[in-house]
Amino acid sequence: MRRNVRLISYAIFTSVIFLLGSSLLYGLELAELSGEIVFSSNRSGSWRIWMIQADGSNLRQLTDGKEDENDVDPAFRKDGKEILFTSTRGESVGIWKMSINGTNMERICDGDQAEWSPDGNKIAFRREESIFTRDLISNVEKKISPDDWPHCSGPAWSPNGKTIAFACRWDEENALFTVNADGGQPVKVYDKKGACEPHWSPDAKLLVYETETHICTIQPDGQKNRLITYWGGIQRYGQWSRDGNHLVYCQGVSENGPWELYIVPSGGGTAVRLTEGDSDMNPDWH
Amino acid sequence: MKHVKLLYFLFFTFIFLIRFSPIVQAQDINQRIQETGAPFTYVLDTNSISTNPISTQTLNKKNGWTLLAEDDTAHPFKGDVVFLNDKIAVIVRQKSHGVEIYSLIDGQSARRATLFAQTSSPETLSSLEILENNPGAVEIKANYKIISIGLRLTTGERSLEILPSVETDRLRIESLCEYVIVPDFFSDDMVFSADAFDRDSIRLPTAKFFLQAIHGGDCMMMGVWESDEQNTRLILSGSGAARKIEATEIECKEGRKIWLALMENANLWHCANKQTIPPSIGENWSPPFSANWRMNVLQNGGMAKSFPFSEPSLQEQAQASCLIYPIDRDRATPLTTICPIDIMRNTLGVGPCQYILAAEGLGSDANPTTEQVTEWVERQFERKRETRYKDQIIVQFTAMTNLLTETEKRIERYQVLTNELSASCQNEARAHPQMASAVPPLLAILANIDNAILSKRDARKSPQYAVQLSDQIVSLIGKEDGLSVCQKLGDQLRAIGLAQDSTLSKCRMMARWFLQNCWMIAERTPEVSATMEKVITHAENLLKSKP
Repeated sequence: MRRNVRLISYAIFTSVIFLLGSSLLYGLELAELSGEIVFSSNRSGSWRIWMIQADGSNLRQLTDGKEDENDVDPAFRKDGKEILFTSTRGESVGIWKMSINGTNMERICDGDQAEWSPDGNKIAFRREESIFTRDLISNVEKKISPDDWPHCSGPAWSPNGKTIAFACRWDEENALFTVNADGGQPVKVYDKKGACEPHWSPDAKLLVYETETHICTIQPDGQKNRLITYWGGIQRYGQWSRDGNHLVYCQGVSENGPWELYIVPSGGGTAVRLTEGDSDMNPDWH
Repeated sequence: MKHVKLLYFLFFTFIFLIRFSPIVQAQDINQRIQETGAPFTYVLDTNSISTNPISTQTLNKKNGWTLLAEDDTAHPFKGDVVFLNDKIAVIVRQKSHGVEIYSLIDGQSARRATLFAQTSSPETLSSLEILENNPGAVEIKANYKIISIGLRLTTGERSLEILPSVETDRLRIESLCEYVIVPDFFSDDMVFSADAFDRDSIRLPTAKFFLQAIHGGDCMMMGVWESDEQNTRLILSGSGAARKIEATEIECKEGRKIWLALMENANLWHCANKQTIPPSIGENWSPPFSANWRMNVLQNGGMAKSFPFSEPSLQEQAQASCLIYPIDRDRATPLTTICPIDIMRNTLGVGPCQYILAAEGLGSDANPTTEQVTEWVERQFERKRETRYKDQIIVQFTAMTNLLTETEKRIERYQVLTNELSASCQNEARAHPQMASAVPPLLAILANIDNAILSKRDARKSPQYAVQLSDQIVSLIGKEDGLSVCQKLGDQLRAIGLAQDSTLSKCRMMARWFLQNCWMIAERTPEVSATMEKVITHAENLLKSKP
């Protein structure tokens, strides 16, 4: 009898959870979120790399430098132990890496907009508006965007390491593409509304990207295009949480900012502000 | 134990059915929409054909309606078609050639407009196609006898995208509109009410958008279209106290989209009409949310003087009628609140600065305005990296001074337009005495263009002077204390840019006002319409010609 009561109670409990589950998913409390978000900010003057817990606590500055040096575009290595970033330190714009506490800075090469391969042994990056990969052990580089493609940007490595998504601008329109990580003929994903800045979901089923005004998701085959943010102002730089349930992005009053970080459920829903004051951009979430 | 297992199975099956059944009836539809919590777009079949517009109560309840499953694009409709997101519901009825649009606010609906794709003769619906049906977007194609109209609603957005077929002449929008506003982001708006004209149909001096202040004060509707070659008309009816704005019409062009956006908020717009409304209404009103609010002091025939709104400024306009609405957001504007400039960005993809430059044929990807360039250069001086970026600074200044030169040429073109049109009007008046009374008001408008150009001439300086200023900034590179001098010179450059923008906006607005008056004269006085057409064509060609 006790077993039956337990079974029925379990059935009712699981059913209620089943019914409410989706609505819980779309409600959002910062306190329930975990992980760390790294971003660039001008809150201390020049652009520096900062970090904050996803629940909004423990805001701290990771990089410092001379007044005329700026650090932007941070990206976590998959194990969360190192961060890539772009810096104007030294003579030319270059890709740097450091430990997550801001120590052990090391310049890797010229370029910007770098992202780690899933195994952390390579990076994909932009140089002179072309997309390259670089093996961090052998230092061998490979150009993976076609020679005659102008204005390529924002490479993003797929979770299985086999494909790279990026954007390319032709005349007036941006488009999203995927290409084999070893190079080859890129395949168009989507070419409307200035689509750029793609990033893969952890399960590789979706790409998040930005239009001229909003954050959207789309399947890598170009299907199921979906608007995730539709607020006033401008939304940019969408990035996934580790579990793929949320997105962090920048919200600006206009194209010129100022920018604040917000978090929104990755299926859409109510957005919650994570940071405010000055401008915060280029978030990445580990 | 066997019974318990059966009970368990039945319970789960029941839960599964109500949770995932593709066809959900009655109030379950609203329940399901609320439960998912996620943004959505849905298509519904009302299962019965309505000969009248569907009431808001019926739309709220959705009793007996069928909710189509995701990706179901082959559903045979038994009744009328309803598609919606959380902000807008669109209804295409089998027995009407109008498309009804409702705002959805906190689960309640308000009917806001009816669209009619117009040809020479009215048509009824012949078939419907669902082109897309998923939580991201719904796209419906309504086919009539000759024309068709594509309607697309995207998750969470406040605008309906409309693509009329090539045979469609114009899109008619009927609503309870009290004012039609033709906004200008740098100059004065134009605001038309039902008593602005004595004609029942008048062309509007729009470029690519207008706003409608909807009766009640809680809704503004924005129409946006892709080409400035798409003309618009204001349709009026009745007389005396019964005179009203019947509709607006937007001309359709092949492949050109039209958007209709609904902005909703309690007290979204406000008219302090000191002559007809107790003054306390105006005095007690304050903006319901933080934004850049614009106050239009209304003048005769649609003219207005536009100011940034502040409560003291409302009090100062003791005897004037004022129309106040939010034009753009600020940092404290709620995330979910949408202003007209948000809609402009979402539809046309440009902000106000790029828009005015594009409208004058001066748009570019780089957009090297004085504001942008001087701000960037000052930042390099602030961070003491002006020496490193000397080459880029020179490149930026060159682009900026080129833009200043082109803009000044555009202003000169307005001067030429004014002179040529003045001569043309006077010649026509001499040749056609019936034009005599019509010409002086036209000449007065042209004189205003002249005044706008002359009054800011000193402030605009000259492109050569701007080159000198930028050269002086370049010469500061590497010098001690360069920043403060750079900022002073930057202020001068910004003042030149601002004076140019202001002059250009006033010229464009007055030229559009000139055209508006020409259209009115042509329609009111048929015997001079051929003559006016010549003047109109002359003015339009000059306006369209790019530098």
